[in-house]
Amino acid sequence: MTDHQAEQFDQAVQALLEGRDEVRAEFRELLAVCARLRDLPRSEFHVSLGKELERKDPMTAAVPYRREGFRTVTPFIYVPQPDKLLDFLEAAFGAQVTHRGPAPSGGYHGEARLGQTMLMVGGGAMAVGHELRGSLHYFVDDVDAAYRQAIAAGATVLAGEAGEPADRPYGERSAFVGDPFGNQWFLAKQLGPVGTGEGASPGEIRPYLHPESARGLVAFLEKAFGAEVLGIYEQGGRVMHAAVRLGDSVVEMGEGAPFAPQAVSLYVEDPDAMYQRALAAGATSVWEPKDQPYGERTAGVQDPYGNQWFPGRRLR
Amino acid sequence: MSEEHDERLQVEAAQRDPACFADLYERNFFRVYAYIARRVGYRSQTEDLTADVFREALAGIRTFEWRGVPFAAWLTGIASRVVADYWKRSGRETGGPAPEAEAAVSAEIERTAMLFQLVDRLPEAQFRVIHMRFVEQKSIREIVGELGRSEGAVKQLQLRAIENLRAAMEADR
Repeated sequence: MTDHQAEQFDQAVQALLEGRDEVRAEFRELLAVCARLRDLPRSEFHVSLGKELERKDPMTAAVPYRREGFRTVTPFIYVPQPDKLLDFLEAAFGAQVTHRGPAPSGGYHGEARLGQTMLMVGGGAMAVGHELRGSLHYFVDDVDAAYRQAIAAGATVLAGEAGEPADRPYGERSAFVGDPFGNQWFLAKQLGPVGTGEGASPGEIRPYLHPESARGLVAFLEKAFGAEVLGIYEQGGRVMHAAVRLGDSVVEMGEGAPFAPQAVSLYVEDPDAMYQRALAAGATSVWEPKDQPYGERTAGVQDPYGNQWFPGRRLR
Repeated sequence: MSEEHDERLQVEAAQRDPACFADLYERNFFRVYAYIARRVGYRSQTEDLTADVFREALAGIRTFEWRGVPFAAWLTGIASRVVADYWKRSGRETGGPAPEAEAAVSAEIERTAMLFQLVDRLPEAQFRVIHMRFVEQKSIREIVGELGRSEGAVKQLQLRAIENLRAAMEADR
């Protein structure tokens, strides 16, 4: 087996993975094996489902409240061209689009995995004038490489030269880019053991909110969703950065730069209770808890700073 | 001990004590996953539905009766319903794959499930390359970075792994 053969074979594998049909006769049988391997399950899934089943009492094998692969927090982006946004996420960040198409409740629904975090995307013509764009802190392995790939896919650098990859005084190397749909991405890697990312690992995405008052929003999140404060950093009377934990996820915010309110989907045990708590904490109702045609019960609330939160759970 | 006898003991053990379900899970995981992956396009949906099948199987294990139908067939029955529900739920009742000849399909699924099992038995380095390449869809360059081996070595590992898998599949034919 020569290096040349291994090289030729890899080119054939690459073509297969990209969905190009260039089967070379000498590799036909090997590529048939590769074709099946595209469905190979993730080891982590195999193990974690096994562990979950071990813990379960079969008599009360109730439906888990969140979907496999989702975390407590899922950023939700609502734009007029959701399909094109998904294409961009694939090209720019190597996202794995796991769902796209018309939503059962009308409109459009798309989902994509980026590292360890899912993103939900919706919208279409009806989103014009009602956009909910994302400002996202995305932790990557290699900031410079991620930056180059995003730019090549059509992203533009934000804040001029200041947005190019650089080591920041707050303990991370990061770059700031905007996508063609108006979302902004802070591509980051922590330099020290704990920077402002409060212990982020590569592949994690955190919504970065821009409320008028970060302290006000933190207080709301504590009361409404039981958020735990991880840190608040103030400079000259302005909160430059704050982070709170929600379940297994982290939401961040700062008063540094203005950005429109965002939307966040939350998987919780009891969306009805969460909805009531949010209203009591000062939220306004967007929709009351209801069973959705896609098998989940969800509610919608808007916090005092305009961000929308969608607590929900699986029903089956 | 025959395969069937072995499985029967595992089912009976799990019916007495659901903590014993783990053996049945391990025995059938790849089969159920391959069955669902063939009918549902995306990984996250395949994972969701696979999890649903096993949760339902665990909840209903005591209702399974041994009537000469293998346990795997019972699981496949649950999987087939879970998949049908999924297509209905996504509002695309006709969106599922066209019905195929049952026997041919189940032979296909058995072979895929066997292949997945064989991957688990590959030497560590080959196993990692296969997972990074096909599951995580990483480029050779990214794998080089993670494994700390040369590009040529990673490509050799990939080719050797696939050749091993094909040979093992052939041996079983």
